[in-house]
Amino acid sequence: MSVMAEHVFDIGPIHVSNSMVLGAIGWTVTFWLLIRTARRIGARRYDRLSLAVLWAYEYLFNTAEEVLGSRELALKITPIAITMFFFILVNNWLEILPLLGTVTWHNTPLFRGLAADLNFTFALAVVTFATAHIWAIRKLGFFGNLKRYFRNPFKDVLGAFEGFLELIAEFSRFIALSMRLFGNIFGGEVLIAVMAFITSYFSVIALPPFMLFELFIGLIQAYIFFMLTVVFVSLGIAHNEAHATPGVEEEAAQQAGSLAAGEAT
Amino acid sequence: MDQLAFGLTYSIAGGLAAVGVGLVGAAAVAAVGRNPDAIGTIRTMMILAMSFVDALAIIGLVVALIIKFLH
Repeated sequence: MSVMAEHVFDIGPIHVSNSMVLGAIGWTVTFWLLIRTARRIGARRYDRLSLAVLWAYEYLFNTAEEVLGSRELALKITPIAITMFFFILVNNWLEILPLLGTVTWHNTPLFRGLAADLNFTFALAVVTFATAHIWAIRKLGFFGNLKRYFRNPFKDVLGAFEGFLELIAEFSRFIALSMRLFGNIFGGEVLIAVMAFITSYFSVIALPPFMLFELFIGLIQAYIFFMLTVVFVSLGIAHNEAHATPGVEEEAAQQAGSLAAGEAT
Repeated sequence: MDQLAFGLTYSIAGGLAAVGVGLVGAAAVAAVGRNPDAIGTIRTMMILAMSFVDALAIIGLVVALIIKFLH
């Protein structure tokens, strides 16, 4: 098992790696799932799958509303955050399929978990931070957003130092966000491979509990990615509104702050 | 030397993360003992905090594996 995704074949100028193959399947499944749910709910023909997706959506939406502190804002941010949740969830669950390491193409595995490729998690972190900064710029203005990090050291010495720390924290959050998802999913793949190796003939009995554990980890990681996306957006916005209307907004900012403080370690 | 680096990288990260998970779990149990009705919220927050701690241990594992296999 290699740390990097391996190159499998080319489509024109695009180098297709083995994580992209499974990623395309995962993208198709996610698209099908969400479109199907939307159609079923629109036509009022409920079945178990669409109700489960709807339940998950409502739960996530309520969480986002709680963190952001306003329903309109939650309605605007949840499309990207919840789509990310379902995309990561489907890809994490596809990674448990038994054909993952065994199907090969010219001696390289044809499939590999999408989140077990650092390129993907890094790209997701880029999307998350772009979203957070676009919202911060919308609320605070371009220079208002910069003022969170760069302040005049001659006027406000402590504030300048605080802004510098904030800038470092932003980078460390960025790295931690991409490494967390990658590490968990790649670590899970390695765990299953090692377990299959050391329990050779008994792996039929030994592996299912670990696979269940991986399903749980995949769900938790998708939820955490969603949660952190919402928290980062709310961090950029809360700066402004904590001054304007103390009360509800301040509480949300505090909640977001304490969550982010736990995350930034 | 590489074997030692592999072992230490994972064991230090794993050991300290174990302390962290222990603190989170102890705090959650104490909170449930104080306020048993809030168990649902506390469970969610506990799992969230635990996975933040977990991630560091797993990043340690990945770095250790990189030392072992890519060196």
